[in-house]
Formats: sequence, structure tokens, C-alpha cells
Amino acid sequence: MTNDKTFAASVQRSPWKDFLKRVRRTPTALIGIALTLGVIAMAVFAPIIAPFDPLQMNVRERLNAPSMTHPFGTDDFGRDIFSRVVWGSRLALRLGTLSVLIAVSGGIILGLIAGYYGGWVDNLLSRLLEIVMAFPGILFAITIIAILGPSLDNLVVALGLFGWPDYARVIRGSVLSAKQREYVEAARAVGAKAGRVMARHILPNVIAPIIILSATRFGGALLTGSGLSFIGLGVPIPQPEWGAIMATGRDYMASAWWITVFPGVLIALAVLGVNLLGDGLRDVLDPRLRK
Amino acid sequence: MSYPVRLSLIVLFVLILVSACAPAPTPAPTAAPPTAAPKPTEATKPTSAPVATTAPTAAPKPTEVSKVGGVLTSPANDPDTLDLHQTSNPDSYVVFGLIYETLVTEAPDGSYVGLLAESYDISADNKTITFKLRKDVKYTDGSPFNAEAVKFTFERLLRVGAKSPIQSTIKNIEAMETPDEFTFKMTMKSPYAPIFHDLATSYAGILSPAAVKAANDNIGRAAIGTGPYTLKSWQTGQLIVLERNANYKNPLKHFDNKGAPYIQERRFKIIPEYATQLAALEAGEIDYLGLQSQDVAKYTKDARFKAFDSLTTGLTYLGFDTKKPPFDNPKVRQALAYAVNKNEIIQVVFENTLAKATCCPLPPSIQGYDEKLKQFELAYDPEKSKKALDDLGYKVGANKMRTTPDGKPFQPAIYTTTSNTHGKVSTLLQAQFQAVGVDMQVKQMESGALLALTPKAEHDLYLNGYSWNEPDMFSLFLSCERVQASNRVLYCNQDLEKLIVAGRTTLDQTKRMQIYADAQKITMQEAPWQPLYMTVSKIVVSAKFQGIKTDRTGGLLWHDAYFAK
Amino acid sequence: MTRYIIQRLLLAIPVLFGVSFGVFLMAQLVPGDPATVLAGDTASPQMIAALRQELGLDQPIPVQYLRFLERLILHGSLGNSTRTHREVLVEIADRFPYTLLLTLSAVILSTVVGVLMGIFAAINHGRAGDFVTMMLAVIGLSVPSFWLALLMIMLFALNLHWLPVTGAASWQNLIMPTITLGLHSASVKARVARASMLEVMGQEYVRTARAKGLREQTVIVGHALKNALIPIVTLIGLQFGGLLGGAFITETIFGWPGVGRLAVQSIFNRDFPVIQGTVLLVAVAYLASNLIVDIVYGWLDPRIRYN
Repeated sequence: MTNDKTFAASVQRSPWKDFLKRVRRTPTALIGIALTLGVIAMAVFAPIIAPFDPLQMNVRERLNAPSMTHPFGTDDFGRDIFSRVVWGSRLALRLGTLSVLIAVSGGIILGLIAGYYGGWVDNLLSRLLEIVMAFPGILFAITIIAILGPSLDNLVVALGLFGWPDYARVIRGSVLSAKQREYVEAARAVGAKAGRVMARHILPNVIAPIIILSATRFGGALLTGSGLSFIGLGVPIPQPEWGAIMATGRDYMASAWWITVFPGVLIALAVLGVNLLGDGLRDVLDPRLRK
Repeated sequence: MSYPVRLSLIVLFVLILVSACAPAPTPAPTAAPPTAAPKPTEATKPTSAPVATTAPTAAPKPTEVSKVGGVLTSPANDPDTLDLHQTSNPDSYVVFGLIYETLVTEAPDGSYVGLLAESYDISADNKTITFKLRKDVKYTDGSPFNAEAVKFTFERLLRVGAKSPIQSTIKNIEAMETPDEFTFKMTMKSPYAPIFHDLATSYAGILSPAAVKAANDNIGRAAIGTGPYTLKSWQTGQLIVLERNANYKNPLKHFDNKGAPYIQERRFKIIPEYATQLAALEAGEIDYLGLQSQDVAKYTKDARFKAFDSLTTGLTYLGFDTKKPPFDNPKVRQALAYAVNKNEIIQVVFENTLAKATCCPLPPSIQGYDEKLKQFELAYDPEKSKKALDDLGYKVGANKMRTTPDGKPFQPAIYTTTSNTHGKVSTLLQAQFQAVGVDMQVKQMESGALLALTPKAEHDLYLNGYSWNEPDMFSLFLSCERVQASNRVLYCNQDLEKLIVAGRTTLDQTKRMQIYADAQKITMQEAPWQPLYMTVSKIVVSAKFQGIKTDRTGGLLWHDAYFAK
Repeated sequence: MTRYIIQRLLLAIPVLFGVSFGVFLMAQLVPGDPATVLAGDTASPQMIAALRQELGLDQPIPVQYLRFLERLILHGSLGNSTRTHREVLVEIADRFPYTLLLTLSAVILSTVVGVLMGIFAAINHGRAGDFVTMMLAVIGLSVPSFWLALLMIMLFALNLHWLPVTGAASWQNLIMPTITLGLHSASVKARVARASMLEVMGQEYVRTARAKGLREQTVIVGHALKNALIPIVTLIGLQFGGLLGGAFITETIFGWPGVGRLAVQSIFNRDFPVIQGTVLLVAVAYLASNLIVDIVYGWLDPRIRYN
């Protein structure tokens, strides 16, 4: 609405090598990449890293404090929290990635249409966008979950559905400014089809802001998702979702702090990773901020 | 545009925003003691010393003077309304139970004795009950209590009480008469054994007709009763304060205190989260808390508190959707029931303290519990369960999990609430079923969805509890007429149905209990439910309160209690 | 300007209708209606039917919506809460002052802290101070707020006994909820403030000011800051609307009697009139704060003209 133009068309076609060189010079990007890769590795190698089955109960080992065998302690069923947290990274990645994908694709399509066609189409979509944005996000998500029932996939849908307006706004703004460009006008003048113009000339120009926004939204999805699990409307038990682990832990705050503390640290680290990655990418992709 | 104009426009918008949320100009219910408009920054501290009160009109007896005082603060969820005819909310129940009184009440031995009634009389056909009312009772607004008030109350319950759990009881009353000012006579269409139980619940508290009229029937926050406390203030979402009714006289034999309660104020602090409640107890912001298992050991040893065990009237069961194949087959239900290890649930989820395993549909806290019925329990026996499943054609497949006789994966879904306890119990049940090769899915959903989906038979299994203080709970949870509503297992058995009707209309205690023994036997053998456990509340109360008594099930009685300064 | 505002107000009307219709539709899709929830555990089929009739839920859906509109437009009423039987506006009005108080204090805290952090980082651009401040900001952005809330209760209330745990009776009650709610936006503001400070400080007039030999402090406060604050104003506006409905978890954990908790409870209780009321309130707040932002914007940046 206001300074979408900041991002617009800021990408310069730079060779891959140049890109990598710039990444190397950006320490935040490096930390972000390291953390994100760490979470991905944890998800991929979960069966190797986790010493225990995340669902295996062991009634005799209930609520054990952190030790050599159980570095993060055990929960109220004697399940190893370290293993649960490690396996939980799979759920977190899935939640973040899929919900961002839904939001991105919805946002791109609607943003492109609104920006490109303008007129009443734009007007209509802008009103729709305002309606969704005026709707309180968490209430929207809770209602969607109440309608569909709690599950990881429904959580993804709920988070994706209230994420698209951000993208649509950014993209609409970018399209509006890209439309003024000579090469786009030229392409339209020679009668190129709308879809082709958007795909070939406009979309590449909005990729940078999309990537940057996606990193933020990915983190936001993890936080909101775990918040919903925390109130019992997220990923169903006994899945080791981080927010759900914390939800069981909150009643043990006074007696077994480790159940709440470690998954919280993991959420924070994972979100920190993508946020730093997003920052780094912005610094690299947005030349105006480079000094 | 000039600067002042711009400024005033902004102010205007802020005003629009604020005024959109301001109270409507319609007259708010006024009979409640007026609460000051919420001023978050100025209100007094919640735990401050007793606030100055209106002078008691009758001087308390000299011996009691020293005991009067103190504030008891308990945590509560958000009560909805104090209009006792328009709620079934347990938190509201606790609050209006201190404000209103009933005709009869349950004595510590389980019998029903008069409270607002001096005595009562039952006709030979068991249909007519005549209550002789106490003559010395006044409402806290000064109006007198009489038979007309009783009639007025029950008529109002019929009119507006669609939500009330006892409306059907009152609907069974054919005629209400008031032969004189202090006699109330009611005639029922058919004899109804649980009548005294229902009339003893606070839902049957007697209203003041004058106060109801004064409040224009909006008594949600204008509760005027004859009870030991009066409503002083209600700050929405924060705090409800009740103040001692200094004129109160107590007729009950089981209390030493025949006058007003000693504790000056009862406060109910709205704290939705258990973790926060515990922190508030630790910080001294509340004096009372029902503990969760992990904190029992620490706080029952703590000298700052006294601990009480109190049985809940009701139990939690594993139900089967008896309308949906294959669970319409009792053999399938029994096979799964054998896989349930109740003791493990008690140990892991309740630390062996906060629940007791129950054999039978009626737990020890409800009349009709019968130890002899234990022989019919489908007790934990995984081998029996496996064999039964094998015999029924549920063979173990490649992944060690069973398939249905026609070769599909056997994955029954259990529906339950989002409560932490139910989550834990279903997690454990899932593991126990897995041990016999059944891959059970857990679906936790908020109660609105659960209440709506179970009558549609969408579930396979159901985990929830019931809470009812009467063996007639069968008619609520297992009768044919409730299949589309509170009978969450959709169970309908004509033999059981006959027993339910007989139990409701038989007033002879021995015969009635025999009927419920038979009803329980059928339920245990047919297994629409596998009864799991009865929870035991472990309540800690600040040690500053002395003289607390307990009733038959261990519930706390506060009338003799006082605050030791 | 006046025309612009009127235009915006007119545009808000269809949006509010859209929101109310959306809420209405979603309420229909959610399994369970007020009658099933009110009838509760011990419901009989007759009880549910009677309640349905009493609440008008037996009417066709379009009729129900038209009745809602009729009541809203002709009587200015959102109806009564099905749970408490009180007017929806009264229910909201009881809680709104608390929500406003919490929101305002979170906005003030996050703006002050965020802007100071941003300026500090921008002045120390490229040095350790910059890096540390910005790392703190990203961490603040990444911490789950409910987790922080639990840790704070554990530390400040249980171990140190510095702060009360629950209630809304004193200013001490406000501290932990404010931090919980403000942390995230303080981080966002710190990042934005830094970026826009850097941008402004690189610009011609600031360099001119420096070249004229003005003291660094004067340059920053007098020239750079005012312009760097423009994006912060946008953020404040967006945050204001969002916080009204988004503080639910914070309000629940601290037992804060605000609108967010009311809204979520009303979803669980299928209290349709209250859901409508709270969502409309948040929507109005969102639209109003957006409009105010745009007006303030035009004020701060004379280059923007509305027509």
C-alpha cells in the first residue's frame, strides 16, 4: 500500500558467483544458513540423530531431569524429549514450507491479476484483500481448525489462508510499477498474451521481495502454529510438534521445566535461522541497502 | 486543510472507534450492587484486607465476633451468568450456590433434609410432595420468603429454563399449589425417584419474586437470594466478590454455626490457565486450588496449606459408537475393552493419587455402587483381547497392526476433548491398543465440535466423563430417548430401557438399588462403555482457614470455617 | 483531504459488510451451534430443539443473516450473548478498556524501545553495537511469545516474587503482559527504524547538514529522525489493529480480562453474536487505524498528496 516500491524491481541479474560472494560477506546470512541447514539436517537425519523412538513411552522413566542418556530430560510419559524435539523438526519444516507455499501461490495469482488488469478486477480483489486483512488472524485460524478439525494439514491450510494477503499486496504493488516499464509496455504493445507477459517479464522482477517475505512468513507460521498447538488446536497427539510438547509442559512449569524450555529454544532457533536468512537475502538481493 | 481541522478529524476517528465499543444507552440491569466502571490502574489490590462493609443490621452473637472476617479467594473459569435458570456452567453453579438456597439439601449421610423447607411429606402414590416452609426467612433485599416465591421460581424455570439441567424434572410437575403462605404442594405426573436430588441442586434455588421483577427479569448479575452470601461486585473477566449475609440463619444440624458464615468475603478470581493458577497460589493471590498430579506431593507436604481429598460424582469412560459397524457388535467392543489397562492410566496420568480405577458404571461416590458387580468387569487381559480379535477376523498384518475381516487397515478413531488430561489418557490408550495390534487414531476437538459430532455417529470411540450425583445418570447417558443428544455412545437396549424407567419411578430404596445393579450388569456385559476412572480432587486450602468440614464425598463445607488471624 | 477521508469511509462500508458476512458464513460451517453447546453434556433432543427455536436457529440461513442486519442497522444492536444473555456491546465494553490499555502500553513500549535500538544500531552502523542490537532484535522476533510469558511467570513471579501473577488491578499487573505483547513489535520496529535511519542518513540533505558542520546529535535528531520515523508510523497503525484481536494467548496466560479472550471463548462457545461483535470491532479498529496512519503520513511527508 505504501512503500511496496522499495522492493520493486530491485533484482539485478547478477551471476551466480557474484551472488555467492555477496552471501559470504554477509555474516547474518551465514548464521541464518547454518541454523536453517541445521534444522533441515535434523529433519532429514532424525532417525540417526534421535537416540529414542519419539513416541515410545517408558513409564519408569517419567519426568526425568536432563542427563547423559536423556540430554533434554523426559516428559510425563517417559518419552525422550531430545528425540521428540528432533523428530518435531520434520513437522515444523512441513508446516512452515507448505503454509508458505499456499500463501505464496494464492498471493502471487491474485496479486498478479489485480495488478495487471487493474480497473474493477483490482478494485474487487483489493476489497477482498482488505476484508481478509481486517479479519483477526488468530480467530480466523481457530475458526478454520474448528471447521476442519485439528490436524497438521488443516493447520497448514489455516495458516496459508491467512497469509496470502501480504503477498498479494507486495506483488500487486510490484506489478503496478513494473507495468510502467518500457519492456513490459513493449511486450504488451506487440500483442503478447497476458499470461506470457506476467510469467516472462513481471514475475521474475518480484521474486526477490517474495523470497524475503517468505522467510518472515515461514517463521511466523512456526510461531502461530505452535501457538495453536499450545491451545490444543494444532497438531494432534502424540505427534512431537514443538508447540504441543510445550503445551503438555506448561502444567509442569514448577516441577519439570525442561519439557517447556527445550522445545521453546528450538522454535526460537529455527525461526531465528529463517529470519536471519531472510535478512541476509535482503541484503544480498536488495542493492539499495548494500553499502 | 488547516492544522486544527486535521487534528480534530483524528480525534473524531479515535472517538468513533471508542464509541463503537461503549455500552449501549439501554438501561443496564441495575439491581446488582453497582460496580464502578473498570479502572484498571486504580482498583485496589485483590488480596488487600477486608473492605469496610455495610453495618450488619442484626448484631452477631458475641461468641462469633472474634471469628468473623477474612477473605477466601478461589480460582474460577469465566462464569457465564448467575441466572440459575439459564446456565449449566459449573463455575457459575459454585457462585450462585452461595447466594441461593434450595428447599432441601443433602446431609453428610446422603439423606435429604429440609433447608428452606422445615419438613416435607410424600403422598402414598408417591406423586405428591407437600413442603412445610420455614417462616423466618428473608431475602437479602428484605422481601419475605414464602410458598408463592417457590411457585414463582419453578414457573420461571419452565418459562426460561431451556438450558437448565433440571427443566425436565420441573416439567414432570403437573400441579403446584400454595394452600397457605408457608405450604407448597406439588403433584407430579409420575413418581420420580431423583426428585429430591434434583431439588437439592442449586439449579433449584428459590428466587425472590420482588427482586426478579425489580431487575426486569435480568438476574444474570442481580442475584438476590436467601443464602449465606450476597453478590457485592462482578468485574467481568476478573473477579467476583461475594459478601457475607449478616442476617443469615442456618438450620442444618451438621453445622455448629447457626448464624451467618464467618468468612467475610468469598472471591472468585478468573484465571483460565492451570499453570497461572498454581503460580497465583504460590504467590498467595489465591487461597484454594485443585491440584494436578505433578504438584500433589509438593503441596500436600507444604505447611502453608491443608490438603483435602474429594471424590467427584461421576467417572470417565471409554465409549463405543454402538450404531456404527463394527462397534455395533458387542464382541468387538469387549475385545477392545480387554485391552485397556486402567491401573496404568491411574499410575501414569494420575500418579496413583488423583483418580481411582472404576469397575462399574456407577462409581463409589454415587449411590448404587456395588462392589459385588466387580466380577462382571472386563478387566485388563491383553491375551483375551488378542484372541477375541483373531476370532473376529481382525488378523495381524505386515506392520504388526490388524486389518478388518475384509482386509482394510483397522484404524478406529477416538474422539475426545482438548483437555490435557483427556489428551494424556488417549495417548496411553493408543499405546495400550497398539500392544494388541490396534492402530487407534486420536482426534481431540474443542467441546463444541465434539458435542455436535457425536450424535451424528462420526466417531468410533469416545473418551469423556460424566458428572451426575444420582444413579439416574443412566437415563441421561445410556437411554434410547437421549440417542440424538447426551447419549454419546448412541446405545439403545430395550432391557436396559425398562430398568431405567423402573429406576426412575421406584421410590423404595432397596428395590431401586437392585434395579441399578441389574442396569450396571447389562452395561458391563454389553460394553457400550468401558468405565475407566473416577477422579479424586486433591484440594489445598491456605492453612489460615480453620474449621472446614467435609461431606460424604469429601466436598468442602465452609459454613463453620473461619479465618485465623 | 476531506474528500479523501469521506471516500475512505465509504469504502470501509462494503469491507465491514464483507467481514460480517464472512463471519456469518464461517459460523455456519463450524460444527455445532449455540444450541448444542448451551444444552451441554446432559442435553436432551427436546432441549436442543427448544433452544434452537429460542435463538432463531431454526430459520433459513439467509433469514438469520437478514435479521442480524436488521437488528444492527435499525436498532444499532448486535444482539445478546447466547452464553451470558447480556448485550454484546456491554460484554465488549466491559473488556475494551483493558484491551486498549494493554495495547497502548505495548505500542508505547515497543515504539520507544524499538526506535531507540534502531537509532543506536544506525549510528553504530557496521560496528559491534549494530550487530549486537540487530541480533537481539532478530531473537526478539523469533521467540514464541507464550513461551516467554511462561518463563517470565517462572522467574519474576515464582522465583523472585517481584510481580503479581494474575489480574488487572494494578500497574504491576501490566508489566509482563506488555512485555509479552510488545517484544515482537519492538523487534520489528528496531529493524525498520535502523533501515530507514540508514537510508535517510545517506541522503543529500543530511549530508549537507553534516557538511555545514552541525553537531552529529543535531543532525540525527533534527534532520534524520523525523523522516526516518515515517515507516514506524505505518507499523504502529498496523499493530494497533492486530493487537486488539491477537492478544488472546497473552490474555489467557495472564488472566487479563480483554477482548481477545472474549473473542476466542465465543468461538468455543459458539456464541455467534459475540463472535460478530468482536470481529467487527477488530475490523473497525483495523480500518480506522489504517486511515489515521495514512493521514498522519500525509502530514509527516509533505510529498504525499491525497486526492
